[in-house]
Amino acid sequence: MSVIVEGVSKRFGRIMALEGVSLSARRGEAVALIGPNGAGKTTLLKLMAGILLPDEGSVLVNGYPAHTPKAKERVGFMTPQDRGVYWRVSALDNLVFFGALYGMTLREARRRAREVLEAVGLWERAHDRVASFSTGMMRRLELARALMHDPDVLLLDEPTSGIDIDAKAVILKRISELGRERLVVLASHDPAEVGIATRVIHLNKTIIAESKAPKLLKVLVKGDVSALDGRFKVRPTGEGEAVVELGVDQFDEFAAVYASLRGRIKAVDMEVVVAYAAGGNARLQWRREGRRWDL
Amino acid sequence: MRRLLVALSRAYAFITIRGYKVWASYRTQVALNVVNWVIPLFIYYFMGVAFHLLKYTPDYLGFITVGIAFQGYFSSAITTLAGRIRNEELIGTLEYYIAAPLSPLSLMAYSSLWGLAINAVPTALTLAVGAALGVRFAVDPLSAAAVLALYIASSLGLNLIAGAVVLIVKQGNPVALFASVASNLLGGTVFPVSALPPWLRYVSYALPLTWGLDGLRAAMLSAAPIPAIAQYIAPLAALAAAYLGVGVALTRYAYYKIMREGTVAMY
Repeated sequence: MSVIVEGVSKRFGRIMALEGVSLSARRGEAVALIGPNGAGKTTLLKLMAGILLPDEGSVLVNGYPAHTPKAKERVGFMTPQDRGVYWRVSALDNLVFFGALYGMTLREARRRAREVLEAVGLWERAHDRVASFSTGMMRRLELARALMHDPDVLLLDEPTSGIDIDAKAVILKRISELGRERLVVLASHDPAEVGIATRVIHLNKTIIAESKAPKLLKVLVKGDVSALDGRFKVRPTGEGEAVVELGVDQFDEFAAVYASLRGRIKAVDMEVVVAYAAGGNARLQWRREGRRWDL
Repeated sequence: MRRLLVALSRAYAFITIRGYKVWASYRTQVALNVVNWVIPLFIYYFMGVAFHLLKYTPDYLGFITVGIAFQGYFSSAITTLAGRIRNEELIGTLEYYIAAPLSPLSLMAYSSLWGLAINAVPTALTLAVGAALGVRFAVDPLSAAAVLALYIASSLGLNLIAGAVVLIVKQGNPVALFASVASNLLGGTVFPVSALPPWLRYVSYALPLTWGLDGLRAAMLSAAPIPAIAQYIAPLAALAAAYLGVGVALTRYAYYKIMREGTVAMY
């Protein structure tokens, strides 16, 4: 099972979204697409999902053009908005509906819906209208929907955007597990999401760099950082600010501590530091320019 | 066997979950819909009483009953699909429909099912109210089924055209609205097409409704056998083939156009 992108360009009117992008990925990989807003991450995911057609080049899923039903059968897709589910019917009905869309019989769809709702911790709310769900529950339902037909390839666009730490931990844990047996491609700005990747692709219209998994997160914080001492490496920079360095596997722990401090410290910026796959000891720094990071 | 089960499951999902359950969740809308379904028949009935039309042309009640019952089916079925596509754009589910392994035609055909199913209810209601008001039906089932099948096929063609237009223009449903309004005026719903000026009559001949209603009236009110209604069936079959052909081609064009332009999620 694989996704092969070969020389793909995509333009929207006068705006070039992607230019000459080539990459291939296969089962067992969790590939994170990172880059600034407008870098083409979502466009690339949509091309892989077969809901966009490339202007040039080709996108193949398991050897089939991505826009064909043969390719789509094996792809699960999740967008970042709280849209795309029917709010006025139950979670179970939503999943059965989309299961049928993917060629499952009603019996198969109901059985599978139970499995995926249990996997994302929503089975108790299966018969409730989606309108009563929190944002985090909605995201978990959307993940369940993407998993309904047991896809080989999972395409996730900011899968934990806008949700609280607990829900984020549940979703990322599940995605991380899924990544071992499937191909997961996710577009993200979030260090916790990028942290589960086995490979990181830095995109800005074209592929700027490819690296192995991120090694280090640097979070610039303001306020009383003494509570972080002993747990994380804290390096004061003066003017009441400090840089907290942590491994990507420590992100959830950091987020929990951060939340427990209830505003005593404030994260103001962040870097994800990764090592180039090819390029010796060179390092890539990805900075979220001018954007506050609010947990 | 499995393909049939999958097709039935999809039909169930589109009619029952996406169609009925979502529709029934808006209770006020349901109540108003039910009222709206039969009001036109009473309007024309009382017009007939007021102007003594029923006295001079006793068949008029049967004429308008069949006309309103099936005109509504035609126009509502078309507006329902166009409205449905528009809704999917607004809700954000259209992206997921297109990400699913369904051909453009299957997607539109399944999306049409609810419109065809729900609009059978007012059709049946109107016929029942007509019978209660005194219409004497004399039905040739085979003729009625043949005309109805061609009538639905041509409606489906117009359905596809209306749905494809909504995919492209990202606006309400101009084609559906036109088909609905024009069919009331030109389709011979409450007055015979022969009452129209000759030049307008030719426009009405391009509507499947004109032939469909005449054929259904003959089959349901006079028990006309198929040979007797061949004059309606032949043009209806030609129109069904034409509208379905254009509808299928336009659907494919619209589907790939929005995928090329990246406007699937746009509304």
